[in-house]
Amino acid sequence: MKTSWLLSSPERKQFVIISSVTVFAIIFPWFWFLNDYNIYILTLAIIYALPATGLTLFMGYTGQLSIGHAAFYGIGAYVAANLTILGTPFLLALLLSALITGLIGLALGSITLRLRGFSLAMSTLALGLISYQIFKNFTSFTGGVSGLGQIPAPSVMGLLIDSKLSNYYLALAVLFLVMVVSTFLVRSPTGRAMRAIAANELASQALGINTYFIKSVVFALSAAFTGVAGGIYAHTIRFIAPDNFSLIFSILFLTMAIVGGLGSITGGLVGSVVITLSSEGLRSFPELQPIFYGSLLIILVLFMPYGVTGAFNRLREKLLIPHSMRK
Amino acid sequence: MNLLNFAHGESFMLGAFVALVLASSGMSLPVAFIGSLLILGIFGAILERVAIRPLYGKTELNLFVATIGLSILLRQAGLLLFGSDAVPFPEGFGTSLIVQGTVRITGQQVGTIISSIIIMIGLNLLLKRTKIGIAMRAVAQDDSTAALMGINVHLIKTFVYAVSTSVGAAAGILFASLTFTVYDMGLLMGIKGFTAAVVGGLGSLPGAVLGGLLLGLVEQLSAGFISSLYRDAISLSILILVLLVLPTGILGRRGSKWGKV
Repeated sequence: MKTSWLLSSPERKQFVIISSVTVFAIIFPWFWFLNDYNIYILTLAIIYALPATGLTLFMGYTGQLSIGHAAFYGIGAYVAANLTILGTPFLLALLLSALITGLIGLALGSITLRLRGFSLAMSTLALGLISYQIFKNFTSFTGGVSGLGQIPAPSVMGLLIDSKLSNYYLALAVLFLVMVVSTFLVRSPTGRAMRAIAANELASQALGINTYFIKSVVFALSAAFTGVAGGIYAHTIRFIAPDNFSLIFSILFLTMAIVGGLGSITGGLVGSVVITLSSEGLRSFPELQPIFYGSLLIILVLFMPYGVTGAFNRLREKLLIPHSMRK
Repeated sequence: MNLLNFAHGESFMLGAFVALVLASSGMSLPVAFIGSLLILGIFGAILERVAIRPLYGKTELNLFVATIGLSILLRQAGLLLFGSDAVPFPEGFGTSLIVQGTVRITGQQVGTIISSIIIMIGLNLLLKRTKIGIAMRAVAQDDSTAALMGINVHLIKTFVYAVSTSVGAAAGILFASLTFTVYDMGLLMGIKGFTAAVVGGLGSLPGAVLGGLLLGLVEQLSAGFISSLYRDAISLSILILVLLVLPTGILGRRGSKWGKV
């Protein structure tokens, strides 16, 4: 069976899913009468889906753990914001922020990814906390605790993106790109190596996979996705402060990836939509939100280890596959 | 024990607050101290039973994520229950100066150091001399062999959580008695405690003491000589550095589970 790699059927299926989700998201704002605030919340969900997708690659496919991705979210935001304030065109600034965040991710990843298990988790947590302290104190670049304002409205090829709806479409376009790239990645030989590492790192080393290199590259890629999200966020809100990139955001991205189930590229989007919309229900009680994330993490790990998408797939199997054919 | 727990720092914060609540309800400080240790011990055992035990035998990632969830949950519960203000803690040993001059040492500081030493000696005796302590170390080494020797592994693991939570509470109370109590002190102290343990060598009690002393010194010196703004960032960088360069720490045994990198 020699089909062209580009057109293999599971991949086509994945593209169909991603495209239909995107088309649905494009026409969604016209289905219902959504006000600016609703669209803003949806934009946030799309922005958060970027780090969640990155973490799905890093945690789900490669089997590692990061509790420090808020660092990259912040780095991306500050880099992009500083660049556009200096007059760089928005798309170039976004690209540069992805590149810089990816490179920083590669550097930090190549240090911390020599570690495994709890030590790795602790060092990524430390990275997140260190960068938060830098965001707070490196005033000439970040504006310190009082934040960085006057970020210009982005414009793409002469189109000024200043309405909530255009911001939504901008984030959606980037998410679509990221999901396509991720799909290619997980179907490539690198993707198979990633899954081998998740299954058994020692055995994959024995098979000649450079596990350290692959882990670093995936970490860098997920950092770049998170950095882009930060860049878009900075240009959606147009004001950023260190508290937008604190520990709770690392936990938030982690929760989203886990809610999504870590098993498919669309999982990150599912997780971020579920979490963003349900924490909207707690809008008047912001202090309850961390409690919500925390309990959700525990409940998911205990009862739904494959997340929402995993539960959905099992339900579908139950309904579609006749009992006699089940494993 | 090879059971690492992200939520450990929160036992620090909860212990200090429980002692504070008990003390302000009219108990004397030593009674409040012991009461808080008992309450946190029971609390730790319950948490292990409910949220940790179902995860034994699954991948580590599950355990990490569950304890991260637990940590963020407890921290926020601390905020809701006790507010966001830093609360001063009553001083049990008095504020009178013992040494005067350029170096000042208060009775409180001496009392805290002595209490810590007593707790560490007690913990060491528990682990080395008692039957349950030996069982704990056996389970840490190899739990299936320990089970074959007739040790109730589940009970021992619950007990370990109870002990470690109440020792965390003791540390929290002692720390708070020198400074103050605030809901988010747990996270950073948990990481610093872990750093100290790693610097000294995980699995070694004298190592933990040595690591704690070294870390404290480096932190204070770097605050003085480099910048106090980046004090925490420096001790966190030390954590990453030591994990990379000297994963077995100073006094750790080579080849222990967490020493391997």
